[in-house]
Amino acid sequence: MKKTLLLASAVALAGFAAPAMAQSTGTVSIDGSVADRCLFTTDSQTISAGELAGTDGKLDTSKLDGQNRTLVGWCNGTAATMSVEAQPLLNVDFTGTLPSGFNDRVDYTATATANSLDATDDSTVAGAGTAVNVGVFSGDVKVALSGSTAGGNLLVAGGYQGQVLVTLTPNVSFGAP
Amino acid sequence: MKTFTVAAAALLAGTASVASAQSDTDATTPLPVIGTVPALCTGGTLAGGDAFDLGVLIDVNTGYLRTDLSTEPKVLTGSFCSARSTISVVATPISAQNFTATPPNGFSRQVDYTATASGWTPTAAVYNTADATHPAATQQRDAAFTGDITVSIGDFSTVGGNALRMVADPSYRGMVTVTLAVAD
Amino acid sequence: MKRCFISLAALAMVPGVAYAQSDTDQQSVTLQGNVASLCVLGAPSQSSIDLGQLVATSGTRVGRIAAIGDQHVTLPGSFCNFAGTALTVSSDAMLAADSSAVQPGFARAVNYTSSVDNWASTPPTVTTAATAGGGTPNATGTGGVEPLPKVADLDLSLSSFTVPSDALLVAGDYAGSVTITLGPAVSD
Repeated sequence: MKKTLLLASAVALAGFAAPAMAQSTGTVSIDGSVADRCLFTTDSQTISAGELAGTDGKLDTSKLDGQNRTLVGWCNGTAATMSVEAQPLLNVDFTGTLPSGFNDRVDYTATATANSLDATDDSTVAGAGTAVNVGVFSGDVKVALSGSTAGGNLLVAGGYQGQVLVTLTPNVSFGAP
Repeated sequence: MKTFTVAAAALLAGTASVASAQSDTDATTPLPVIGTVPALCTGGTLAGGDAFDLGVLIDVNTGYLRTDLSTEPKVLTGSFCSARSTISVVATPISAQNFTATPPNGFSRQVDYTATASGWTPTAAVYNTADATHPAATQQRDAAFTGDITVSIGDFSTVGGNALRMVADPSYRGMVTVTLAVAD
Repeated sequence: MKRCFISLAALAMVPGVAYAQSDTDQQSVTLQGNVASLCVLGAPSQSSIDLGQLVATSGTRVGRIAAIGDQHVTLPGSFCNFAGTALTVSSDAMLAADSSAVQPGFARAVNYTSSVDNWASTPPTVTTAATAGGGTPNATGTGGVEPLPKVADLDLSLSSFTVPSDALLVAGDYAGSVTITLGPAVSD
């Protein structure tokens, strides 16, 4: 009984010369590519600033200014860029007309630093800030807050929430194939 | 593209550090409201005129001081003191106003009497012009008081003795002074 | 001559992904904070209200309460950063320092009306009702509910100074007090 064993292989055979014939050489070239890519390798972070107001009911800027968290990521292409978007802290509990003398949002500036380059954004301006060309890097992406302000007004009581979004964009380093 | 966002709970229990002075209720320390009322007395108004009119002082048949001299008392109404007080009475003998020289033997020109201020204190203030000392002339009230003060005179006697006759004079005069004062 | 055709899967060596134009990644840092409910009364413009001499010293009303004008104290920049607050005023009549029983025709108490304006639409207004002897000196009242966070200059006014039965006032120093409280409105 013949047993036929079939081995299916997806692996290409390199450098296979035709057997039992006169010697001849064939070349098989191997082509591959690495796409431009960026990736964060850490989870998202949280800055819990606690009580935002001082005893006078106004923003205590020391609660946010200087706060920082470190993300870790990499980009493998020379065209990679990084941008950051600062979204203001907004009161999630208060509904109704904002009374005179009060504010229900806190604005600030966020700075993301990777490969010794800074990308910044001001939360008063919608959308992300200008992207910087970080290029090929692997390492820390440090996010820091500064310049927090509530316009000098009293802060309405309640919980406040915002976020800083850091985007790594690989772009295309060498053109389309 | 992968996006990581984490929705967080609005309030973090146990992570907020609240300054000790902050609270959802604030109260002033009690604001004092102060003032003063001075200790003062007012003597009120005298009803019935300001003079005791005794008329003719002598018995015209004998020339001696009448023994039945009397007059209605005077009343000071609406007197008050806002604090503890003393009432004092001082009186001067009824004296001839024109005949001021020393009377001849057998005659006198002055009449002694007792002045009494009652109604203010439990014990009336009494001043006898014939006495050398007058311990009962000042009386004390221990609390604020408002009431009427009755001033009366009586117990008349001839200065020098009732065997003396009174010199003639159309005007004999004495003075009773009642004083209300805040006590220290 | 045998010819073997070997088909090569050209890119079988390279696992997985077809060639992509770009592979962007985004990460976030969430910001959280809170602001606690807070009420703060401004420092009063006067530390005490001194009416001075309380009685007339001459004329038909000698010894009785004089005509005393309205008194005002401001608490500037008072605020609550949350909704649903109310003001409470607690006033004590002015009583003479001498606590002994009063004589007929006399009193040792001065009553007055207190009100605090500029918070809710209905201000708290209380009038003390002490007896001539100084009994029941306290009066307390709460104003309407302010439905929004608010910052304002509060105005405390004292007026209508009277004496029970318009009696004579015993001599001495008189003292009362007013306490203002700002906080959550208490529902009945």
